[in-house]
Amino acid sequence: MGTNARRIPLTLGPRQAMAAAALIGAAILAWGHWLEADMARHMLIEFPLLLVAGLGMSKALPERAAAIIERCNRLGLAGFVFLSLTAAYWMIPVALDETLASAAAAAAKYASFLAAGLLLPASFRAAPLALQAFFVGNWVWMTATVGLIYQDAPQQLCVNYLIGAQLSAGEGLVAAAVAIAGLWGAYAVPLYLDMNSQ
Amino acid sequence: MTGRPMAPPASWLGTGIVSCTMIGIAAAALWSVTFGLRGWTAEDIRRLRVPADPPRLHALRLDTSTGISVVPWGNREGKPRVWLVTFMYTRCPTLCSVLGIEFERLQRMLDADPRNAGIGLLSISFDPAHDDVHALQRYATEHHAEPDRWIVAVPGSRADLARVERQTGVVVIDDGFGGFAHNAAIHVVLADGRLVRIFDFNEPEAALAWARTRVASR
Repeated sequence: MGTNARRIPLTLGPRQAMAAAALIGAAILAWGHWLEADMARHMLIEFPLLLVAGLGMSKALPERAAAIIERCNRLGLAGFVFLSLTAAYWMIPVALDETLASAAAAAAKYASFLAAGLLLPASFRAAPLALQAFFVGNWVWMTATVGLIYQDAPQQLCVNYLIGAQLSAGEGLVAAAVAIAGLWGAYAVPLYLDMNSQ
Repeated sequence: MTGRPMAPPASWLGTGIVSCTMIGIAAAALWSVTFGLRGWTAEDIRRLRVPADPPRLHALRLDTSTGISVVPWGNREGKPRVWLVTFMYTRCPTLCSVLGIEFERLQRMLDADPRNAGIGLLSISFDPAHDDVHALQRYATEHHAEPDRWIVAVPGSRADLARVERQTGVVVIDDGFGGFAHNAAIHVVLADGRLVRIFDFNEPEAALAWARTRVASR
């Protein structure tokens, strides 16, 4: 299975990646309030930024820690399960509201997205395409469905976000689902063709 | 030189244990945040949580439309009452005027039955910047509020307002047009300050019926 050896194309070294992660962390500390004041910014900018920061941290992970994680992440299963749970949980309106009302919930949100990002590169490396397709596909339909629900809901779902903001967030989630499906397809289809031609 | 030992292969057991633990933690978090899968929005959960575990509100000093200062619950001033409480701001063109009209109707229903003597209405403004005694007075006059029955007031300080919002779970946000959006509801508060029920703003009869049972059981 040649696909497993292929790395996610990231050209940053560990130090640069860590610096990028720290920069994103600082940006979220500085502008978190602004990001979280709007539902679409909260879900479609802050969540991915946290994931990317986690991704950066993974490049600087000590070898021992990376080895321990890898041992419990056969075929990338644990990493993908964690990402799916994280993405699903923070789309629940009451969970999203909680992050604005409670510091503990906010900390859990930051930690879970960072950790999900941290596990992502190793999980992609370890997972065969079929398993990737399963998890990416699941995330895509789940996110698109939640996006449609946000757009269709007759009432305001979050006490902190107006119904107009909910509508934009819903549209954004559908767009994100389509974009990720397209991106993953662009990554996976050539690999699949390559594999079959050998 | 012995060389680095071969990394042990990823184990199914470890992966299984870690994955199942994650799923367990996520399920527990989901169960807790949705109050046993019974609600998905913060407003649903607030209304479910209150009867199950009534929060005790701090005594709250309010400046009323009649220019006096009152502490409706949690003290020994005045006669103890069961309060039907709403949060509003007097400039509100939509929901709060509906609430005002509903309260006006409730006031008439309360007046019609002497058994309702122990029930009071309370409209608390969350807009101290605009709602001074004159603004409150205008609102009270517009809705024919009788001061003995229906108190229209604003908290004495912003700290008090923030505290009562936090304790009741009322969230007020900017509506983008110079006004506010908020989770409108009728809150039943007992004389000792316990918030025991939250009703939708369009079910004042249910709120009144419930308040009556609390007056009767005292």
